[in-house]
Amino acid sequence: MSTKKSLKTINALVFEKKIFKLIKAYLRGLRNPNGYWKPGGPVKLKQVPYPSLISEDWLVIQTKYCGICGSDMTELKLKGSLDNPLQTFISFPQIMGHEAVGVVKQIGSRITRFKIGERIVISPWFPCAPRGIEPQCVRCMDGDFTHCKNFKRGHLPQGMHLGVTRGYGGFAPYIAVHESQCFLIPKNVSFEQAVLADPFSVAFHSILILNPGPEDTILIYGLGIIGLLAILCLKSIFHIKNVLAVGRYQFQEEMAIKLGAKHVFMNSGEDLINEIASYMNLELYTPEKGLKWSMDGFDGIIDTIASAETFEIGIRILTTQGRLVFLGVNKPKRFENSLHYFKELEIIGSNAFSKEFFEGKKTHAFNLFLDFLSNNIIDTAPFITHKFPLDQYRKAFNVLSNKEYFKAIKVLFEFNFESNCE
Amino acid sequence: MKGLVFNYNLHRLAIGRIAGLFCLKGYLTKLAYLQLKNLPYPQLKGKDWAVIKTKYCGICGSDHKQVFLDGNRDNPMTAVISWPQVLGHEAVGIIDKVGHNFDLKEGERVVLNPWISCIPRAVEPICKACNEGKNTLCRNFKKGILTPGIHTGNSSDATGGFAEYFPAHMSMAIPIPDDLSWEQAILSDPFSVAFHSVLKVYPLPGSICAVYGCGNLGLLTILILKRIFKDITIVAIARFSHQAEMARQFGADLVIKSYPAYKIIEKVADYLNYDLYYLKKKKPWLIEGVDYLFDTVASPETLETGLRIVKAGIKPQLYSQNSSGSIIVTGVSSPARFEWTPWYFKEIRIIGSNAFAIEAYEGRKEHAYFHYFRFINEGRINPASMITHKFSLSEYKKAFIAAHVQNRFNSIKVAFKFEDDGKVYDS
Repeated sequence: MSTKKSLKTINALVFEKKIFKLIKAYLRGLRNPNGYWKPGGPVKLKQVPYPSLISEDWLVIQTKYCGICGSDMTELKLKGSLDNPLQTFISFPQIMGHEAVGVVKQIGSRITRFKIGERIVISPWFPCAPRGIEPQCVRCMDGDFTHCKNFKRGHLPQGMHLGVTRGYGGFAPYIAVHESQCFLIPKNVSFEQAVLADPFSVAFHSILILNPGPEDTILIYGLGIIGLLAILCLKSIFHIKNVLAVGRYQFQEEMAIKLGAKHVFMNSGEDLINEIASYMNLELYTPEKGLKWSMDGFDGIIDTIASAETFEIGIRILTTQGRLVFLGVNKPKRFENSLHYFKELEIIGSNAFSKEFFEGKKTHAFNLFLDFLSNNIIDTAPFITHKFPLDQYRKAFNVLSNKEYFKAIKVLFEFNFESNCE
Repeated sequence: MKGLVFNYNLHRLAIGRIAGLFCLKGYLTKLAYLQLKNLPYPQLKGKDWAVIKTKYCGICGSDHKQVFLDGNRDNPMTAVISWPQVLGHEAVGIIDKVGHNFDLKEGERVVLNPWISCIPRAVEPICKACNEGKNTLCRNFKKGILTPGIHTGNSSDATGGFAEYFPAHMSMAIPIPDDLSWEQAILSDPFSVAFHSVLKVYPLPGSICAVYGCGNLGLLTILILKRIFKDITIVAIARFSHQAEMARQFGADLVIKSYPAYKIIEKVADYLNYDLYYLKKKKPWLIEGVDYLFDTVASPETLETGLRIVKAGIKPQLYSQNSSGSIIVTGVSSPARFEWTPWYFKEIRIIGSNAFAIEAYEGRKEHAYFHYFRFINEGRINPASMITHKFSLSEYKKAFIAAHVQNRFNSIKVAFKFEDDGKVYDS
């Protein structure tokens, strides 16, 4: 660690929790969906210190790409709810971004597994190991690091992962990370493929929870990046015969079909239930008020939206004793849940990824992902539709808030290696 | 015969709703939807049907909720029921008249198995759910010889036990063993509901289970976890002190008052010695917690609190039946928003449990009632002390209020008792 470097600053995209800025953004957002990230709001490019190695088993990664996640957009659009208990596990101001790939720039003296110049994909979680906590908690020892007991302890600010922990984030040209967070990208895998490690692992994890049988009929609800990656997993890795999806835009439908979905339903509400019933030949019941429903339907649903509407529809078209796995961070709202008990459904939440039990052993989801890529079982590069330099962040967010027009799936920030360090 | 009829018409519902604003008795005014009437003696629907003379009929939570209009109009179950209804499905009685093919004789004591799926409906071939012995998941609740309905009491044809007589198909009348009292027999249905919910996860020895709500289902769940399963630590959450008392008698290791909700979370954390996380002063949550939660209330409040005290899902491999970090819901209250973030963050599994059917336990695969009879016969349980009140049918207003306002009456199970006709069957 040279003291010279620590004096330098870098340009990072920072989210500040300042009440006046939040109100300003909120009011602008009411008028214009792109108003949230206009100047004067909570998000801005800011000079922050060049990351320092907080201990000798840390590294500095020079960022090549950092993906913009749906949860980033939720935060930017101030869509979280005030009573969300996860607020106990975040801290401000944040450098946003947690889907980063890059090159090792600097290493602590205890690092033996990585060399300067190697290509790395970063696992963003901050459980016991990056926090310097020994011995690790029982959850971490079990590979279940998303349920770590120590998100508020150790030598990092409180926070679950990169992007929501004060001072640590991927929308910056350099990122400090712990050795346990680094995964070497195989030679035959490109940065563009590897940068999808996080969203892929999220989709993969949810399918392991769903645990579908090869003959099951599975519905993927929502065709954002997670929904599309879920189809990819179900078809290319799990070889599930009948995969159907609910989508919104035509380009999503085309992509889903290309990935192997049998059919994509493009309706919502009552029309969606009718469309599914006629496609699957279901007998529908009509209650006095509210949506129609059936005792039969899908064996499993992956709900990538998890809103009141998708829950209400999901439980109506799931077969009795079927399983619904949801991921996502939508605001809680009332939904009519009587069918949950009546049809004896199992509804299970899915959170990020962990060491996954797959093919008889426990492996970190990122290792599995890199293996799938390296062995040409999957290809994730086609999901990347847009790249922007960090200083054009407004353009990038505009694209994501108008996905239909821009046909956006995954939008990345790209960093130019020569000119980003002052 | 005398019977209590629920007339579903908007005019009468409105009267009940308005009169109910003044006092609870208002809901029950004769001008509203509930009337004690003279009804015709039930018809035999076929050769394999019988008419049962009611001896007792328990009031189920769903009965008094319906009577006091505690429901929501977008409830999808409205699609599979029919009107008018004679409520009451926790019925026991004596066979009064049988069809040619009925396999029991007049005078025998029976308990009602209330589900009206393919077989009572004479639907052939029977659906895949009924074929697997899961007749609460029947596909034909609107078909066959009966009007729509899922069980006795909510089909206009399958009138219930809040009347002097009720009809039953052969598959719906289960003989009561001689060593079972009427009081014990009345509890066959709620016992089976609780038993079915526990079998959803099959808690392993050493598990920590929370039971939310100490009404009938909650208390029976405690009894089952303590007496039928082995080595389970039970945390009970009770609303009223008489419920808490009985929860302790039935074997709960810790009883917590249900209000205020944040205290439940703090007490569970304290009892199990886990970290608490506070968002605001009154909204703590836990990542660790109890292995299983049996939510017999399933209201927005109990769901929100439940998600905070159940431990994050543990998946040694893939999900198995007894994966911990699970909530089992045995019903629902009127839905409303609740904060559900821990549901996904902690990867909690919420499993719906609907009534009971053929259950596999201790090497036997038989109807839940037979397991119940056996447990009583072996002296492992005796829940009869849960029956706290008996009323005659003409006292129905008192009975419903006693069932609904449990703290004022110290009531657990309230049942209707029917007059003896001189013959002695009582055990």
